[in-house]
Amino acid sequence: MPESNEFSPILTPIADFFANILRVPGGIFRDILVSIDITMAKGVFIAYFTLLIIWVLLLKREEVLVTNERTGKTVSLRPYAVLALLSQVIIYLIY
Amino acid sequence: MGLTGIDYIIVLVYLVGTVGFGVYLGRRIRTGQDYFLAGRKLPWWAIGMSLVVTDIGAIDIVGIAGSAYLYGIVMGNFDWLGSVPVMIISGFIFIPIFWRTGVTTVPEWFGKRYNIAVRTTSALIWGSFLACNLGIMLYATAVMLNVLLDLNPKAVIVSPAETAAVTEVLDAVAGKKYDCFRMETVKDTVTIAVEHRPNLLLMDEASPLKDEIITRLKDLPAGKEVPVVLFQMGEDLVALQDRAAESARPPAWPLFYSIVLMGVLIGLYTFCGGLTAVVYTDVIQCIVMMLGCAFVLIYGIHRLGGFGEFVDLIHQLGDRTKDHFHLILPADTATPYPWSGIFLGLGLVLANAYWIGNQAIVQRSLGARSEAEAKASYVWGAILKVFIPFIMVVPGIVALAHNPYVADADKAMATLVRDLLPTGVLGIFFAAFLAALMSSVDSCLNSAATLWTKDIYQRFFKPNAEDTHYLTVGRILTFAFIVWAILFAEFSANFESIYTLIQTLLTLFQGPSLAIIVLGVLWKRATGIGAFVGLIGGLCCSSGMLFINSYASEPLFLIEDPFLYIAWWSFVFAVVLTVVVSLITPMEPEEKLRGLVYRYKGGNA
Repeated sequence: MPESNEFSPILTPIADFFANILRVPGGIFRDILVSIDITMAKGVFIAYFTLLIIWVLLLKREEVLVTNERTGKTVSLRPYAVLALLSQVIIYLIY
Repeated sequence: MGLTGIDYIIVLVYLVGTVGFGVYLGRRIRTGQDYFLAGRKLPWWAIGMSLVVTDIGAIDIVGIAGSAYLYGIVMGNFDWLGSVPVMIISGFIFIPIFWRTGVTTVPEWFGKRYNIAVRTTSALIWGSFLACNLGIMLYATAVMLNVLLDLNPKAVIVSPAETAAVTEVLDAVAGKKYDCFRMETVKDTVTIAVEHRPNLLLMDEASPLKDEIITRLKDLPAGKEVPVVLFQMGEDLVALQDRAAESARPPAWPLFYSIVLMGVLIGLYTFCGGLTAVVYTDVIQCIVMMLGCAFVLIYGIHRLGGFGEFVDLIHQLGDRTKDHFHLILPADTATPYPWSGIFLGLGLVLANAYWIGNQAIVQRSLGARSEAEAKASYVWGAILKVFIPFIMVVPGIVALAHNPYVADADKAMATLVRDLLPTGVLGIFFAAFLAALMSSVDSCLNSAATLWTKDIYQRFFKPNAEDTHYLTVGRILTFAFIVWAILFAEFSANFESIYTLIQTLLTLFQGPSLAIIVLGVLWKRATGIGAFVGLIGGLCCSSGMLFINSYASEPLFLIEDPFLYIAWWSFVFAVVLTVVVSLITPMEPEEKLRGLVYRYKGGNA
């Protein structure tokens, strides 16, 4: 919990006016977040990575294929991108 | 253990090698495009490594390990959630679009997608930020150099017991300008006076040790004298500060020397070689940094007896470390890293703004040989990023296992390497540290010069000059910025709040800036007027929240440092505003949007 701010005769009333308005929706939003337990929060992170993996798998072929102009060799970036994201799923599952 | 001759030689070889290599690469620079975009000849592997090492600056390498010492692996979020996903997204969506349009800067893309008002506003914001941040980064780099090479002046306070009053005196008099020690006995005080030759010794007049210590210090050989300042508990701290400043022996290597040294070295190769030198020296820096940090990690855990022992030692520290191996902390955690702030603020806003919209980052991918290589560079960078927390965050926790009683967490890493590494290896590690420090400053310097040349000078002063003219202007600006950075760094040294201010400013415009990039790329209906209103409105929103949080009777956010939440809400506000205004203003012409919007080919295509 942060310490209280110093009082300013002009600025504090203005800031308080807006703070009182914002605290209502802010409080509701905060209550929602606090009510989410850690397991569910972890699920949010893992769902995010999983959705990205699905998105990468669904990308058009021409968007993931890269051709080396010097050698003419074509490589797909898809498995590398999936690998990077999959590692995140594993890391967030462990920790 | 301190650095020995062989360590200094290794550090020197590294510095001379890097600077020499950068200057050598500068021989090939002929045009402005060579200077700002490396002639668009950069390979994917070099860009990817440069992206990774540029992201790790002086503040990060110390701060992340220091925060990991205090809070644990939660700091890994900044590289995992904060880098890997967004680098994949950027690599497949944003970077190819930027590259294809042939722009040199992100504001230039704003000019093509939206209008000159958005471009200029963004250029002025980023240009000013980069210029100020350059000074701050140089200052932080110099501070780190002094800490690592143990060049800081030292202050000793003699007090039989640690009390809040003693700490207050030490903070007020010595602050962050000195490495501070507190001594309790005559023997320890004399030992530290002989070994470390402090620049100042503060002694409580009421201390029963006073007379004996003064007598013993008088016996020290000529040239080893220690200036002693006597104080009384409760005396005016400002007056004591003045007396201490008058009596203290000047430092043998003032911070300003380090500022100038780092400024000249980095400025030299950036001036000569432009983006080419920045990227290829970054490659060396990336290898040195990763190997150095990996060695500390492996050797540090080995010295603890293995991974199992390391984990046990951390768990034995009790409540203090109960979350040290948790990446996700509750929304109401006492740390500054609740999962909600991390996910919304970092994962969805700040990280995206950084990897998609930060000129110092994006510029190198714009210099890729082809669109395909630009994409590949980001995917390669994402793979490398997976390993960074292991070699940069975990060592902070290893430092905790080795020594749970380091007073200043930011010095945990330096303390660990000094205690742990043998001669020679210590030199390699310090070279790795320097590598990380230099890589961020050179990128910032090059990007500041690029942005001011392309978006301000070329746009408003000389739009149709020869390309070689812009090369000259770019070099002049690089020189001017390094001089400015040296002066600004010296100025910031006296005002620590400047650092906080600059970082806060970054948070203020990251959210709105990201909002208009994302909408510009993903939504063809976003208009120039909408983006301009969204950008300005978002800035007002973030500034307003900061104002309310600072001046209301009670802070608006129930968290000490709410930068993650401010970034999130200003982003949301800017998105809403841009969408609303775009919908009531005419759509941009189709020809203008072609190639600038993701998967948009114009017409009914």
